[in-house]
Amino acid sequence: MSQSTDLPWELLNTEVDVIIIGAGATGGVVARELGTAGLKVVLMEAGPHWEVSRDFVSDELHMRKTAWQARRLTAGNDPPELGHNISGFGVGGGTLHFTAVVPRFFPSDFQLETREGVGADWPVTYEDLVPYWQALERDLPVAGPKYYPWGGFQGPYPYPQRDPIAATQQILHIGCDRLGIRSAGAPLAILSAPYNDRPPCTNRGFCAQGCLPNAKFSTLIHHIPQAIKAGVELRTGCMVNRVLCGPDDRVEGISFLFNGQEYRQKARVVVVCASAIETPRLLLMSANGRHPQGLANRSGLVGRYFMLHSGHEVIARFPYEVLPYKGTPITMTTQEFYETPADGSRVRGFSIHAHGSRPLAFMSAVFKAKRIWGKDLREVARDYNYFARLTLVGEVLPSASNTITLSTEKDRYGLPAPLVTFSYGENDKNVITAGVRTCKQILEAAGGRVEFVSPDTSHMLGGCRMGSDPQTSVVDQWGRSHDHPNLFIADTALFVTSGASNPTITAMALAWRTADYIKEEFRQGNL
Amino acid sequence: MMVGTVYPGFDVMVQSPHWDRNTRHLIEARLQPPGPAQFFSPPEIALLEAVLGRLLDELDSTLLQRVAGQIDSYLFNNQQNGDHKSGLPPTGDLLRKGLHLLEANAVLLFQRPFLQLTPLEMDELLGKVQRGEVNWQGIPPGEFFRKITGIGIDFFFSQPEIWSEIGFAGPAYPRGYYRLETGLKDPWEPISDPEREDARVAAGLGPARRLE
Ligand SMILES: Cc1cc2nc3c(=O)[nH]c(=O)nc-3n(C[C@H](O)[C@H](O)[C@H](O)COP(=O)(O)OP(=O)(O)OC[C@H]3O[C@@H](n4cnc5c(N)ncnc54)[C@H](O)[C@@H]3O)c2cc1C
Ligand code: SF4
Repeated sequence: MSQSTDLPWELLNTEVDVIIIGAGATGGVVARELGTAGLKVVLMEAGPHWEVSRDFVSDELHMRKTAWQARRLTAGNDPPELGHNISGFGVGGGTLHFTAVVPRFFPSDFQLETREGVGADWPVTYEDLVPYWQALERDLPVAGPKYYPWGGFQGPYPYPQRDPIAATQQILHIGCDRLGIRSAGAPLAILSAPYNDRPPCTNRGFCAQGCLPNAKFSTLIHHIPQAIKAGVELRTGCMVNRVLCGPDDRVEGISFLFNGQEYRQKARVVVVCASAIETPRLLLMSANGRHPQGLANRSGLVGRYFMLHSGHEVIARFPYEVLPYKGTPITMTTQEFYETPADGSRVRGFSIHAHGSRPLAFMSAVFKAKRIWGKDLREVARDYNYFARLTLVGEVLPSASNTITLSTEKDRYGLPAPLVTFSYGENDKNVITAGVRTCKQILEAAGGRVEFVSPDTSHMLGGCRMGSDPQTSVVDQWGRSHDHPNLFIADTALFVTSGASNPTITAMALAWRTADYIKEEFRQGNL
Repeated sequence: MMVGTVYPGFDVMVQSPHWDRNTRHLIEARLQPPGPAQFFSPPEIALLEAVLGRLLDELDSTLLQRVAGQIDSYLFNNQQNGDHKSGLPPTGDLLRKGLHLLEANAVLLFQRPFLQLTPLEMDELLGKVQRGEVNWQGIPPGEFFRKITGIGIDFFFSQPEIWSEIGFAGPAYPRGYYRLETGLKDPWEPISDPEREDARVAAGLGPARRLE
């Protein structure tokens, strides 16, 4: 193994305090928090260090480059599409091209087993996370309504709700009104007024391609520059392929691949923030003689209880031009159907977002819905501007048979490609049926004619769930591995249940809480 | 009756001086004729163009050449999307194999190469492939059909003249949009021709009929 001295990393041959793996949503928060606390931190990122003005353009096709590109295999009854829709690559991770909808999880989300007899309880409660959500809502910052009708937080949000809103968004609002369903402005990590050197949103509609004016929050433009300023060493193009574990079960550092060469880095603490597919995969790849099942895997649960949200798209034709390309893609929402209905027809529920669309997203959904082609497809395209879309965020209950495992195929790094096995359960399907039906009702009430229902998924979660019992969980309430005292997980892999809210602000809140705990443990000399 | 675009006068490229430089260069490059194919062989690329022409209902061969050429260089550069159903070959191999099998099917079914089939015959064969009514070894025909249509959609609907046709106002940085609400338009957005809208409605297309 060569440890050449002309490599760009200062801290390579030292033992640092903390290595963070993954510079995405959660890795950014942990890096800033530990860096500004004065710890010696290295932040590892497989992808490039994007520069917004150089690398971002207003184009759907080109900006797929911000999606994870190494091979992943899918299986199960409902094998998901894992491309641009699911995960990010490079500094900023998923926040580069997320639509920045940031509602909190609901209080009930944390106690599914106690309240509903399904899934499992989280080892943290809603109240535990409140200070972190509050801090993040100011930090990102979040724009939202004065009064938010659902969940544990009724507003007001630090920044005002967006106004005006685009036609697609008005359609959700009008349809809901006519049906007596409450709707509201979605809480967004997108500026409605200037903040430091960032301007408000210009409504160009390309959030899922990365924001050019920096109106939308990402860790690329927010947490990571602050982390670097605090002295965190960011290493890009570095794919971590193994967490190294000593005979005393303490982790000693990592090995990683850079330009095809393997290097090592020692650290007192390792925090994995590589996302719900890559985190379990990395732990499985780190198997050694003492831990043939992989690290942190005494329970056998690493890679199990992987979840996605159901994300069906319902598309309707309107009597007027909707011009779905304009405006922030998601600005209006209803979370009216989030929890278990009184009639017992399903457990848990869904959120519905109005969702603008650019041509590729629209045409792919149309094709997926009806598999039409030729003249039929082309004629729908010519009517693109008359269509509005609603998107479901449906809760998916945790299932031990939805998994991340290692396949026998290799990815571009020569590492075993992860195999994602996913099938919906009965209740998940009931949630989808009810969600799609409600989307249709809303669109019809607003004057539309529903023509396409396209199955889709979003938001990967779970695979290293937290819990208080080492037999039934991978990490404790602080994200600390039950098996290795100095190994932490702080990303979306922790999730015990999926909720029906977009998960990122909750993941970042958990990550921040873990960072606070690590700081305290260092202060007390425990790490 | 054939009813085309409702935006006959709209050309999204007229707005390109208002786009940021990187976006403008990228989209202008997309309008250039393709270089020689690097991933596909010349017969394969000709076949791909013909198939795309049917899948996307497009007759303009220079446009189809550009689309096929851009798919070719995408596959050549191995820009994968990191997503892959277990048991399927990589996208490029899947497409190449599928095109060869399609050609073999054309000869089997019509005793002529695919390129010499009538549009109706091409569609008949493609329909069989979509429905899995062909006997293919090694790759599932339905998966091939889905992949080639999906990739065709991605590259075809990324062409500026298609944006103009469907009335997508295109890249919008740094300018953005100001008039967002129903019925409002910024001056640079496409303006639909009411007669063509009516013609589309008469053909069962266009805006939904207004309900009471
Ligand atoms: C199109 C789209 C829209 C979305 N919209 C929303 C939304 O509106 N609201 C919301 O809440 N969420 C949204 N999400 C989800 C959101 O992006 C994720 O929840 C979030 O980014 C997950 O955070 P993370 O830190 O777990 O992982 P990521 O943000 O994905 O970060 C993981 C990082 O780790 C890197 N990495 C992985 N493995 C390794 C390794 N072995 N070595 C080194 N680096 C590695 C990756 O390159 C990546 O940068 C959206 C996602 C997509 C794709
Ligand atoms: S819609 Fe607004 S926030 Fe989204 S990318 Fe455009 S300017 Fe940025």
